[in-house]
Amino acid sequence: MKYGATVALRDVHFHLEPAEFVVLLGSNGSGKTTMVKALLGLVPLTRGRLEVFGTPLQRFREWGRIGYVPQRASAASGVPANVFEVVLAGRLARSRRWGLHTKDDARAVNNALELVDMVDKEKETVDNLSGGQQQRVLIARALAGEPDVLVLDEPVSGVDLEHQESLAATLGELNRGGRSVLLVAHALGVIEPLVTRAVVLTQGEVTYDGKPLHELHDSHVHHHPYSVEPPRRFSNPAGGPG
Amino acid sequence: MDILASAWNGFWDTCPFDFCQWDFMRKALVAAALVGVTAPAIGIFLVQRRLSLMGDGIGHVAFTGVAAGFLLDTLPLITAIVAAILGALAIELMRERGRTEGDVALAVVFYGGIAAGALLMGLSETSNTNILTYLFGELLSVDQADILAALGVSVVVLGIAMLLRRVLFAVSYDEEVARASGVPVRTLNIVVAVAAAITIGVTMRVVGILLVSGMLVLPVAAVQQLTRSFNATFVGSLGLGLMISVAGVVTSYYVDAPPGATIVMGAIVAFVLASVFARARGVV
Repeated sequence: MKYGATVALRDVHFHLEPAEFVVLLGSNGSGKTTMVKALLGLVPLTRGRLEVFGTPLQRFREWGRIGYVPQRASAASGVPANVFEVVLAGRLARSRRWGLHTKDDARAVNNALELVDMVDKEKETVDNLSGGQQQRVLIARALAGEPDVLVLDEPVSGVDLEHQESLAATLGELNRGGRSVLLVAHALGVIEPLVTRAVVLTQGEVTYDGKPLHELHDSHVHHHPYSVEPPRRFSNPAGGPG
Repeated sequence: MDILASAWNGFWDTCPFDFCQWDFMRKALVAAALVGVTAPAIGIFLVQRRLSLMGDGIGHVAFTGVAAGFLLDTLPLITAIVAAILGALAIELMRERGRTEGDVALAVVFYGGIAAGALLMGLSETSNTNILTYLFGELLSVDQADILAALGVSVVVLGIAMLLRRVLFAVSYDEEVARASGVPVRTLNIVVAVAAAITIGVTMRVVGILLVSGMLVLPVAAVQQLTRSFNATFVGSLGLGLMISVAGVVTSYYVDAPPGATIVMGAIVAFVLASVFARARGVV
């Protein structure tokens, strides 16, 4: 996997199983975001193979099955947009792209806003919301497509503890509902009780893949003794994405 | 055609102002009204993507096209539209490749367009007055073909903007997530760039190449200070664009200045008033 002039990821073997809650840990520049973008087809693979729900990436079309929450400082934009409009954009993978939105779209947006507890903010301009609320709007946008897998890149960075906890509660609920969650983070933090599996990236290589360990709290994850363990390889009978 | 002609005349006979009796003013007002509603409908997506100056870049390239038209002794309108489309595609590709920063790509196109235009104008020995009418617009220059072209472009561009509004919003709001949803981001960006290019090429007779891009951006910039949603901004910009364009042409008639100048000055007044109003509302 090459990104620009440097190889960003190498020898990564990764499978996401249905209903898993995986946290992808690593320090800055370890390749976490690149890996997530590669899984979404946003950056090209130089070598290797990527299957999404059992289909090679090139032929995969059911993008509605994946909800993506990018790493982002804010949801503000050039022209004001309200919460409903931003969340509605998440419906494009599921519904028609031209003309006005349908009743199904409106219902899905409403459900998504309910899940993140933002229904009453529907008509508010996203620029005027707090950082935590903007983050919830972006999660609702991903949920509006009714995805089977939710991919979140550093959703808790820059969000205060109270909102981190409510976000963790929301993610836990979604995961119990049968959705897989792949979450990129610096450290486990508030999501620790939810995580079923932790993957640690160090300089583009998987240095740990297994049960989350308490020590992974430590921000110096790459010094962890388990980092010498070779990456586990998973067979993929269920055909999960990745 | 007789019915159309009598409807046209009947419509203008109801107009109480003396400028309505002039045929050139009737044509200029219609052309300006079409520019006014069409330009912001596509410009809003440029503002959303923080590419407000893209229209200006395309306008500069259109100037090269006009000059090429004079040199080749063909219709400058056609060569301007061709050049504008090529310029728009060049900006979009340079931006997408990411090798050149968006603003550097625009700078190259700005200066290249004006320099090449001036060079070709020199070679074709076009008179300076003729050049000025293309740069800043000219009421007397609008003929029936211009109106029909503007009407055609308005229908197509407004159709694209309205029909594809949701997906164009998604792309200009968050290109990466749109791509991850399987939306053909590149195609849609090119659709917006080409629509902007055609709008600029066709409307340059009224507003002028140097100022037409102001109508893409300024109504949106004014209205968005007072709105809370994208849809409200969209509708409001079209309405404001229409009012400013018509008022600008009327002002141009009375003060005998290029219509491009009066229209864009009107847009700037609207922008300042909107800022003052938004600030006052924020304080209260």
